[in-house]
Amino acid sequence: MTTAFDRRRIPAPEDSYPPELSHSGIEAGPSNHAARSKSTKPIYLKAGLISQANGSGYIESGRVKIACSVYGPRPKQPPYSPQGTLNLEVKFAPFASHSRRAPLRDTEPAALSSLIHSHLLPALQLHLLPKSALDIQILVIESDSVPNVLSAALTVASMAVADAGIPMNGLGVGVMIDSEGSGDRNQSDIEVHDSGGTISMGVMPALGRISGIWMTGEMSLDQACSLIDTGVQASKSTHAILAQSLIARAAEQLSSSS
Amino acid sequence: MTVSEATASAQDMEVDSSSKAESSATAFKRLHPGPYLSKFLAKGYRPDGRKVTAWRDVKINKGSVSTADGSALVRLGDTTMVCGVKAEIAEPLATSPRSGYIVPNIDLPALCSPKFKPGPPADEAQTMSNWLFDLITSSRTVDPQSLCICPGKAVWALYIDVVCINYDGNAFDAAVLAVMAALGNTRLRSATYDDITAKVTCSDDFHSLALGRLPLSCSFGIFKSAYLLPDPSSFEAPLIHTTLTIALDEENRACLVRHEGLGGTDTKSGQDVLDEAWSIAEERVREIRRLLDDHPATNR
Amino acid sequence: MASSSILLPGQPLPSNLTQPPLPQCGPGCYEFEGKILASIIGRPYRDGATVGVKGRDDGAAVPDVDAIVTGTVTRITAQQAHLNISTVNNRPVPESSEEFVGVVRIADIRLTERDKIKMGECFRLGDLVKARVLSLGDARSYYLSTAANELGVVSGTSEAGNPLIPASFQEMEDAITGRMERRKVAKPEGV
Repeated sequence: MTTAFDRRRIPAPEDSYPPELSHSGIEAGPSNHAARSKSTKPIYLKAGLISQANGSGYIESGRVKIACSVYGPRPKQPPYSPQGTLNLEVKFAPFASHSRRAPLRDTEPAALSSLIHSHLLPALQLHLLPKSALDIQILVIESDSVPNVLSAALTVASMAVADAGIPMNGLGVGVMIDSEGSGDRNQSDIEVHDSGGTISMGVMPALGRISGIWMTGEMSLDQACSLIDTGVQASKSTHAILAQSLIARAAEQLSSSS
Repeated sequence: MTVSEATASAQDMEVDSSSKAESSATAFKRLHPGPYLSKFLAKGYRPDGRKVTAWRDVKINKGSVSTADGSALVRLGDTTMVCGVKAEIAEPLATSPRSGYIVPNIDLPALCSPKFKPGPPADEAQTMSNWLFDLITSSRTVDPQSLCICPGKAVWALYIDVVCINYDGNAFDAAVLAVMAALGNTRLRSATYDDITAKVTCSDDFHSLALGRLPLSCSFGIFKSAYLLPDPSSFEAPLIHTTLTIALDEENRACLVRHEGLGGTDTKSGQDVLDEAWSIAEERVREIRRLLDDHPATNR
Repeated sequence: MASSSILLPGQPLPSNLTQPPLPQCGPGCYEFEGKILASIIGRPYRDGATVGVKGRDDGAAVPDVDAIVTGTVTRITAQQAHLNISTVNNRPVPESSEEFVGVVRIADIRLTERDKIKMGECFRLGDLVKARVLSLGDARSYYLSTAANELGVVSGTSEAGNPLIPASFQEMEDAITGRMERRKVAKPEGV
């Protein structure tokens, strides 16, 4: 055994594997009823569901469900820094993907955390938070492909930060486009592997800026550039939904406090 | 007018508070949590606006996580728990070749409360996981023998993971309810063990779990040996030094009774308080069980 | 108030607020490519030569220079007293497992007779103290001052374990035994 016995959790069998079907068709999960359509799935966004957090958000985008909470600004441990520090952690619920994500054996979140961290950073005004730290916690409750998780997580993190009243340059939005240029945000792992390449981006539509690009797969330079253009266009509709739900929540709060 | 009265009593507090430094109720709440709670209880209310003896509302949403074999989202007031059940195939222990594995865990991630830090489960989560494990095994909610695919060769390992999304106290009651709802919603594939290939193959036929007793838990706190408070919130919990948990099954048989701290109140003996809590729990469990049965799985 | 006037981060402030003379950016907004944009969710306002965006009141509070904070004394040395800060300008700081730590150095306790101050006659462990933030301080703590009449110990517990009531600027009285204890007392509000 490579991993030591985990005393902090209820003992599990040393090894277990997900059920294998006698025929192919991994996707036929028990509660997967409707066949996925190729068209863009509606996005559901809601701010402020986590009452314990200083700011929070929840997103459903196709088969991705993510909750995000923001705590802070919190006192930062020494050494002194004139700028605020951003701590961001992504965690998958053990049941969030097809095969169970056993705690301690899951290595994907670390890579995702640093990607989202770098995509989100340009949206924040951390120079206004000296000696402080901002803690962003992202919990993936249900997922399909990594690019979809990345783009949804970025959108919901941006929502939670705005909800917490932390100064930002602009709202960040995550988008995912595949090389067919369909702008389909909701693909399963299999579809992602089939397509030539995908680009995930962080966009700040209000400022007309891009805060990060992550490409996987293979495509020509021209193709990549046109995909980025498509992505910037696609980000506007997500931005509109994000803005709408944030304003709805702010209207409640501002009227009750004044 | 629960909330407005509660607010009114909060405003009273500012006026007659002996420490005049705090002009706002939220600051007073942070600086003097004990007196803050006392003032509310004296008026017959809890800080979140309910009556002293009231429980918080319960909402159950079953089957919302498509990547799990069974799932439920439970809200108890603001406390939110998601439970996902995943069934995987494992080799049984040589000592019990017919027994499947039941692995329940409660996770209280840093997401759900400012009190928790990222990292491995802290004491509270470990304790609760152990309570949950004891509750499920001792009341035989799932019979391990029913998870056998082929004796000595293959059994189901049932991973029951509960993740807290918002921690506003009384996480255990919410977790138990989420687990029971998710188990009721769990479908296993029909599995057969092939002796020649030594592999398990599954078909598209699904069956529900054979469930035994379904205990539901009710927790109380005793504040200052004066008030028996059902369903303590995260604000109240640190101020409460006695906790009482009673879990009952369908026929109101006890599956778990836990009492920590000094029993009884100033006016009632420990026995009387326990009796009182028990009858409150019976009524509460009946209500929640109706909700649990009322909610067929959402087809998502 | 119309909900349409709520701005989101990155949205420009309405032109009627930013007309010449070109205003300064106050809290909640910033300058970007010659425009003034909101940086938080809230309603814009103009106050003379300054524009800003006002967000919700219950947003997180962080100690800042000149803010009035309250905190509990957690450590005392001959030279300074350490406080765990719990409110800033009457708003609670975000709940956290980490504490905002403030330090009152002996010279910043009161205005007069600074050379005769003894730490033990001003603060005791567990006292609730009101103070003003002098500076962001060092890596660990904010520097605080109680050198004003309305600043100092607000409430505390006597050696006998009873609540203390302010008696003078230097003394507090045990509410039950009537025994006096020395403190740097904050002038109670409304007296």
